[in-house]
Amino acid sequence: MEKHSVNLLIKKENDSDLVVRLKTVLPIIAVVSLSLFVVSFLVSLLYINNNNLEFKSLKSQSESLEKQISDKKSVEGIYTLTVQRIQTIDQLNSGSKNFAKLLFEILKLQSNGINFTQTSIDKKNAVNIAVVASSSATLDDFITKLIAVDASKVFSDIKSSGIVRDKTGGYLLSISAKPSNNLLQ
Amino acid sequence: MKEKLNYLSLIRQYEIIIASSLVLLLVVFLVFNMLLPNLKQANQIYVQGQALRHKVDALKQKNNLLSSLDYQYYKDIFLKSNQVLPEGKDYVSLIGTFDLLEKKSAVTILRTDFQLGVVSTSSASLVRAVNTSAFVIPINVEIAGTKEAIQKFLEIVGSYKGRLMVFDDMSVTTKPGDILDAVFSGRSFFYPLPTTLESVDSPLAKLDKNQDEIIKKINDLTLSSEAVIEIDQSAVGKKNLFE
Repeated sequence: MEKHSVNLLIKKENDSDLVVRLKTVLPIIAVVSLSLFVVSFLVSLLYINNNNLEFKSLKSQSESLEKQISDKKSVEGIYTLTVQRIQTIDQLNSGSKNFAKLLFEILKLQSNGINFTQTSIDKKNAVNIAVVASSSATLDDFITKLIAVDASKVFSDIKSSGIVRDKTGGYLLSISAKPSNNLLQ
Repeated sequence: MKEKLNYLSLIRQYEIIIASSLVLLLVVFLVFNMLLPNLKQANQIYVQGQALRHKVDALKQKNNLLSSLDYQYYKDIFLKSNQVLPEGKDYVSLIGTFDLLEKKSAVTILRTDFQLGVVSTSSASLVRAVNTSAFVIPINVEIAGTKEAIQKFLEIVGSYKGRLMVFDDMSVTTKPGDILDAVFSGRSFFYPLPTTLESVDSPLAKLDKNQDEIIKKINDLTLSSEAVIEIDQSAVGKKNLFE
C-alpha cells in the first residue's frame, strides 16, 4: 500500500524587492508624518491660544487709548484746526514773490543822472524799466553797470530798446530783464 | 473558503504596508481638515494682531502728543491765525490790515480795490487757491511813499502781521521828490474751516520747520488784538458789510 503525505504548511512566497523596501520605509514615513502632524497641531493650538490672549490685551489697550484720546477731543480739535490753517498759510505763501528784495535791487541801479520813471514786474517775473539818462556819459555808466549786473547773475537776459534822445540832451530807454530766482524768494 | 484564505494571507503578508498607508491617509486627512484651518486662523490672528499693534502704537503716539500739547497756546495761535487767514471773506480785517500797513510803513494808500465777486462765502462759484481749500479774493492796491517806506510796506505784507496777501505783479512810477507810486495786484484769501475731525486712530499732522517759523511769527502777533480794538473803536460800520 502506497503511503501519501500531506503538507499543511503554506509555502511562504518571497517578497519582491519593492515590497521589502516599502515594508521598511512606509512605517517610518507614517510615524514621522504622524508625529510631525501632532507637533505642528499642538504648536498651532498654542500659537492661536497665546496670540488670542495677546490680541485681547491689545484690543483692550486700544479701546482704553481711544477713550483717552476722545477725552482730549478739544485739544485735538484746536491743534488740528490750527495746524491745518498754518499749513494752508504756508502753501499759499510758498509761491509769493519777495518784491521788497527785488525792488531794492532794481532801485540800486539808479544813480545820479539815471532815473527810473516806471518799473514793473509782471506775473511771469519779467522786469521792465523805463529809464531816463541825463547825458550820454551817465547812460554809458549805466550800461556798464548793467553789464556788471548781468555778469553777477543778479539779473539775466537784459535787453534795452527804444533809445531816444530828447530835446534836453537826455536819453530815454526801456530795459527788460529777468531777475534771478534768489531775488524773488 | 480557499479565496478567503487567500485574502487573509495577502493581508497578513502586506499588513505593514497597509497599516502605514492608512496612517498616511489619516495624516493627510487631518492636515487638510485640522492643521491647515488652524494655520489659516493663526495667520489671520497674526495679521490682525500686527494691524492692532500698529494701531496701538499710533494711538500711544497720538495720546502722548495730545498730552504734551498746551490747549491755551494753540487756542491763542488759532485765534491769532484767524487774523491772517480768516474763515470768511472778512473785508473789515482786510481794510484793517491796510490801515495798519499804512501806519507801520508810512506809505499813503491811494486806492484799494477788493474784487468782491460773489458776496456769499458759501457760493460754489468762488475761486479756490491752487492745491488748497482756501478761497481767493483778488486785490489791487495803490500806494505812494518813499523807497524805504514801500520796502517796509512789502516786508510787513510778507510777515504775517495782518491778512495774508500775495502780490503777483507790481508797477512803480517815480514822482517828483523821490516819491514812488506803486500799484500791486494780487490775492488775499479766506479759509472755511473743516467741520469734522479725522478718525481717532489717524495720526496728528505735524508742522515742518517752515510752518514752525510761521507759528512763531503768528504767536508774536500783537497786531491782531490791536487791530480788532482799532477796528471796533473806529466807525467802520458793520463787521459784515453785506448784512
